[in-house]
Amino acid sequence: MREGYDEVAELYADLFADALDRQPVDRAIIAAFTDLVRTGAAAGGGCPGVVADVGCGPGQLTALLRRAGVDALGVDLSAAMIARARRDHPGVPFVRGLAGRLPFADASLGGIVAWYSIIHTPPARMDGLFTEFHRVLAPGGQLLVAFQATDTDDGGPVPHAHRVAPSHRWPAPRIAQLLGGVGFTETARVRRAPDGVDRQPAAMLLCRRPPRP
Amino acid sequence: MSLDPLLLEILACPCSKHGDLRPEELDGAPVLVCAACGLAFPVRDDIPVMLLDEAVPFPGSAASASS
Repeated sequence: MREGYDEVAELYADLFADALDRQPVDRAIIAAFTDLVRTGAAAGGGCPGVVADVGCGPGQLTALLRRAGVDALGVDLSAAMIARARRDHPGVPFVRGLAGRLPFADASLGGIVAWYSIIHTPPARMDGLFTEFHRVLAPGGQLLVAFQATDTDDGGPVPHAHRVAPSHRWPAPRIAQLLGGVGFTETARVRRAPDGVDRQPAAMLLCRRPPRP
Repeated sequence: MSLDPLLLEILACPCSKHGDLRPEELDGAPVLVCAACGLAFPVRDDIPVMLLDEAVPFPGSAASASS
């Protein structure tokens, strides 16, 4: 996958540079996420304000999060993607790392966004990925996950013809179930029909690690 | 190295102990060294490469002494 995204980084970045400008529903759930992160950090309960954009690609969402007043940084495996992210978004911090082995201490983040980046995780490892997200999020921290959804809510993940690396589309209830299983509490669930950017329906799940009692 | 202050503050090692990192130099190149496992992670063009398969034991650290 590393090599795959390295090869297509420039094309991919050009194709999706302004995608969010054309996706008002996506922007709305992102706005809800940043609002919750800022509120949580300001509440003084010790929840940090730092957000990791995990699988940030060319960094357009990382930059949007920062414009929304969030202390965001981008993490991606691909060297070429990160190089492009730095070029397009000077001043935004980026780091190379693996989503399943994040370079952060336990409970050190106030938020994680995984924007269409969980799709390359083999289904059997999805549970481990969410456990890792839960580890690095502070109690009260927010998680926003977006992914290509299956056409119906029944069944399991289905292989998805992705140009870069093997990936799956998922029914939202199954992802919600896995998130709940590792300790997340769901706040909101959005299903977006195919739009001018995506040919598949998308699902977006907003959830949080419960605060300390 | 001109590492973003947010990265220096928030990054930890991807090893199982998630140790604190300190900036060092290895063969004249900037690295981040884990206090727990002793691995040195390269910092290329101011981008920390926090991948275990690209890290090397830092000379004199606990990990390099035991390996």
